[in-house]
Amino acid sequence: MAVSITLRNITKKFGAVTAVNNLSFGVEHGTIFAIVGPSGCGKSTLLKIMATMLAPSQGSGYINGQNLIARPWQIRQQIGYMGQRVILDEQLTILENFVFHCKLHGLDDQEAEARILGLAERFDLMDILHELPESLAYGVRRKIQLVRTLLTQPKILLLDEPTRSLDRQTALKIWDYLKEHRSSLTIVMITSSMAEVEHVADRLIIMNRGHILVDGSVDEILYAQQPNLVLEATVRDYAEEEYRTIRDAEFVLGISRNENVYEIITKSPAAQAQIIQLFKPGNLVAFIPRRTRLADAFIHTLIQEQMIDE
Amino acid sequence: MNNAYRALWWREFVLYRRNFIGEGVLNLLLPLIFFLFLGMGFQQIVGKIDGVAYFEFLIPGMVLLTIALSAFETTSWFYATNRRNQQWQEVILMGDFPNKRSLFLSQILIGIVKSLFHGLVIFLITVFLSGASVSQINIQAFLAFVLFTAIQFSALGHIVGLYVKPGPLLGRLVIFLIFPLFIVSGIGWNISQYTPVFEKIIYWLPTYTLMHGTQSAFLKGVIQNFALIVTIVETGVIVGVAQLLTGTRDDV
Repeated sequence: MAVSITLRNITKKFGAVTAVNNLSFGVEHGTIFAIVGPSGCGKSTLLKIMATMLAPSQGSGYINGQNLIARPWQIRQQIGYMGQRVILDEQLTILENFVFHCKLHGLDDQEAEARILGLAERFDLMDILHELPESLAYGVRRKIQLVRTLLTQPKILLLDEPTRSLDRQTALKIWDYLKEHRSSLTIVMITSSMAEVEHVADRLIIMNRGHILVDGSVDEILYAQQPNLVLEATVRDYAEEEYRTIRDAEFVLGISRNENVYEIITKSPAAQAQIIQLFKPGNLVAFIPRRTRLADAFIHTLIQEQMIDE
Repeated sequence: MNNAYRALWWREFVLYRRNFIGEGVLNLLLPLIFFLFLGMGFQQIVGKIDGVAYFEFLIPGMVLLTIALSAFETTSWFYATNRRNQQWQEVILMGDFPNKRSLFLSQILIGIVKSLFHGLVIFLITVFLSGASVSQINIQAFLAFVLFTAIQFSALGHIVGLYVKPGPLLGRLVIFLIFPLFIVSGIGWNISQYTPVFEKIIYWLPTYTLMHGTQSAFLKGVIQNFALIVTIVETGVIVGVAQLLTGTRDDV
């Protein structure tokens, strides 16, 4: 399969801070590629480098065969970039925002009209086309921003949290649309929703502190993890001391609580027997190992890296 | 002209048409009221300045003032609103712009064209109202000074827009800086009426050079070569600074 994006040893420094550290990967054409990681790990910087909005301090890359450093203009004509912030021209109506965007990218009026109406119909924007952005809710503005990115039918979509603040129905509509067009489209997205990654991504990387911790498909990443790393324990009464004891146990990587149910991420399934011993006698009602999800694998990966560093 | 330039012009036209009262009419009204107020107030008292009727004497200054205010407002508001507040430039630059310099150039051009249009309207109205003769004008010199005024204030607006947030401060800069600079540079009187010290200070103001050159071209049909050279140098410096301060995106 043809490669859409190739990055080699990309590093980006802001003064003394290294946001992206010697990072290399390739993305094949037609792939939905997810970048996940904690806040400040360099995801958005990496996406901006791919969008030619930031030049790397070191390294090289190709986007659809164009050199990332030498031919940013040519690259920009083939990509659609949607950043984290909602950026609309507040002085123009939604329709004018769309028309302006089409004109910026050189679409003729007829083609622009057809695309605008088609997408507005599909994403339920017909009724608000003549309104100014300031009168609209944040989620709607975000949807408008995404639709605007799609207007130019880019070959590569670079999306920073594309469905954040969108209702589930709209998010599904957007993914349905993107999946329909995936044969002609490569998508690189940053997301904090592991469910979304599991649902749509063909491949993902988990980043931390500017470098890649894990690179693979969802199945590969889950396969690499042990299957039952997470335990769901239901207790009769919540006891803070008990909770703390479990949290601080050597073989526990993380714990979260929802009422009387604890979700415990362990270092290995073998630790389960030891965890049971930590509950107060008679307080444990149920204890069920759960299939490892991508979100668990994500936390597991990050904590393990942190432990290696320490 | 590539697609992105055309898109910016289209946007400007849409907004101009929508805000015609606020942007077009008000931009013209201020110099026009000033022209009528000064003209009617002092015509009887002053009679003639430098051998021309007072109303006529006011025309070049009014044209320059209109151009300066209009050019400054166009570029300063574009950058102040869209760059500082909404980071909207990011979206524009993803369009068909070869680099950031192209956006800078296109916005300066919009400021120049819009302000020259306003200047032309004021020129026609003031000439009509005053019944001034236009046969003596050195048209090349007049156009040169008018054009350099538009370029200078477009670039100045660009610089200010990069640093000042949109809001009252931009308005204050117009009222308390640009407007007074033109007034003291001799819109309504000859600067020889100032005290010698003050006259020397005014002499070095860029706005005086523009005013002096334009008045000479319009009223006497004379080209002030020294003023023109100074103006060209000043314009180069301001445009250069504006372009430098625009900074470079990492990729351009």
